[in-house]
Amino acid sequence: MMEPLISLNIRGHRRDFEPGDVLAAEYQVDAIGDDQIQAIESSVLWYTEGKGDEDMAIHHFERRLPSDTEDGDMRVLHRFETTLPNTPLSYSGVIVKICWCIRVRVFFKGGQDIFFDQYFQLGSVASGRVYAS
Amino acid sequence: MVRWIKPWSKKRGDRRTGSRLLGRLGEALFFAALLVVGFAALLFLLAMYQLGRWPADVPPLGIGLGILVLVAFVLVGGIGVIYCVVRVGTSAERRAALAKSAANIDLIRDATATPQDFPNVPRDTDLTNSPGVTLAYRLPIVRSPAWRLFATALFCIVWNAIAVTFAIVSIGNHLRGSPDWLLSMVAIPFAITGIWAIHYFVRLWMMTTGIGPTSIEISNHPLYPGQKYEIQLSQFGRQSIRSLEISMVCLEEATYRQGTDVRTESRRVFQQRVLHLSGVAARRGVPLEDRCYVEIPRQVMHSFQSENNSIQWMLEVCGEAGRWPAFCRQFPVVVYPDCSGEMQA
Amino acid sequence: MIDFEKKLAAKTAFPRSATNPFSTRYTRPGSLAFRFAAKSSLEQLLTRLNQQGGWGQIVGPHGSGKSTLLATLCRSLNDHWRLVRFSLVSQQRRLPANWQSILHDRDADLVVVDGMEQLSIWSRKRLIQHCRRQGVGLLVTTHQKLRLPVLYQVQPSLKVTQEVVRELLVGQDDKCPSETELFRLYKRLGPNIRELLFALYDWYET
Repeated sequence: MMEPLISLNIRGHRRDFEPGDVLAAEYQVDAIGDDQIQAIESSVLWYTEGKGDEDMAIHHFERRLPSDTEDGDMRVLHRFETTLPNTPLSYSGVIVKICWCIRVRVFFKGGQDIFFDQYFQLGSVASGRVYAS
Repeated sequence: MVRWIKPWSKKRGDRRTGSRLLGRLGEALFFAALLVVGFAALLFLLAMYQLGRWPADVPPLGIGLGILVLVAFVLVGGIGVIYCVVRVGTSAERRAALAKSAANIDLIRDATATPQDFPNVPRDTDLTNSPGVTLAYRLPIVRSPAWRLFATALFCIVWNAIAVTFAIVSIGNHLRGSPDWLLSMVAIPFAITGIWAIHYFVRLWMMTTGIGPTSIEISNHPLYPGQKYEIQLSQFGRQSIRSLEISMVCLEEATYRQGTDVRTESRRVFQQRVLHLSGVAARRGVPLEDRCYVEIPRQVMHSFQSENNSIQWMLEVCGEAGRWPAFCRQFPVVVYPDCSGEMQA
Repeated sequence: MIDFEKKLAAKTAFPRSATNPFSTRYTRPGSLAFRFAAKSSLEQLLTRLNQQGGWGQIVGPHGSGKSTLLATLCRSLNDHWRLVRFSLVSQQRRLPANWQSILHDRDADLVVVDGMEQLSIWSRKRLIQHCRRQGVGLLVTTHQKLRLPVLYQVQPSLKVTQEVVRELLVGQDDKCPSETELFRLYKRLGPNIRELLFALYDWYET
């Protein structure tokens, strides 16, 4: 049996955004029956990475159920958009990094779930390594 | 059921928080009580001994253990009071104090909310509530040396009071021809520690008054990339300045907790010298003053604060004065992201 | 332009730097699979735990991988046991006040405590007595041996350390510490793999 496939794209094929820009994305799910999906969550979030414990915050969140669609088929292309905040900006530091991504998580009726992340850059801040050199 | 009004606490789900200041006051009172009880009991024992009302059937080991326990009370109480006092003196910007203390970490605290417009950028309310004399704002220091001096003085007084009492009694016994060697053995380490405490206090006093406090005023706050700000430095004290430097510094800080392992690591990722002075003679009653400009580079990362990670900006004043060791004082600032069209000059 | 901006212009704007494979998100317990010593396996441990009625302690020094092993074990234990897990942070001397209600509500038959040595003697005794009375298993991690049957003693070898580093650096052949560098780190930091991985983080960043 094939593994379900999540296709997630940022409209306009952009990777770089500025605060206040509208981030528009679309996703669809393939290689799975239309009655096997329990729910799909899409979120725009940032998290920290580095030598410390991870922190995370959700900027945009949407949860869809089969009842939210016309015919109960959640696999079809779905679009969403959100206006990006002023902070925190993407940052590649030495022991602290801040990453932004879009995450789509599909929950199946068997109890499992899979997710897919699409990274993007918010702002144009120099990396911490430039500072430190 | 009677509902008691608890004006000093807030409900957080099933938990209650208290006012941080009252919490610290409670802690300080507890330690002070330990100190007072230990000190009073030791004096009482000494008085009993001097008046010859020492119970004859108490073995020396029992007496020794009793003195040890009371000394522990005095030590724990004294150090606890000093610790509490020093913490009150630190600025609200020191989020890292929670992780570094390795105490029960209460993550639900009276944190100031970040503005909706700039999530996770620390608020600058605590930095802008003190107007400057010459420029718009006077920046608070990360840790005030005055609190440290007060705490050291307190410890010095209490400890030396005990040491002197022991010494007087012990010497008196020796002069009377009936030496108490147990008491003498206890008195010696007390005396040595007391002398060290006096030496430390005098050194700290001379450093604080000799070097004096440092004041930094800034023309505007918060700071924005690409903008220039005027800084006014005032360095008080009687000592001549061998060298004094102001730098704009950016620090990354990350805290990791796993089991008993709690570690906070800092990394300096940016440092730019703003002002350098050397060979400045002291003038009686006149502080050393100077002005300079600091330009925040474009495209730098803004100040950031989350539960376990932070990016902190600060003005750091480091100097050498007289014959004293080098000192460094830090004044936190908040850098906002570059918001074109909304920047403040 | 001030010096900093000249420096910035010389480098690529907005460098999209690769993630550091030694970041805590890749190295914390649960992210890495535990590597068993020779003659040991997950199945053996599960069998032994069953034979011991769900009682056992995982012993090892700081940063040796006890919590990682526990995370690996718990994934399999969930299939056969109704377990309740407590992870203790630094200076936490007691379990949550309502721990007995939690065990009762979830009808637990196995209690897992990560960091048992942090509990006070009194809290430890209460927990052990409660589990014995209720016929519930108790699986713990600890730095020093307690009066519980030993399930596994964690002592990471240089070979295991090398395997862990190799796993984290998969696909990055051009950036790999030499055997000598790794040996030097292992010699200095010993069985504390956590510290070793933190040191490798710094190495990777440079």
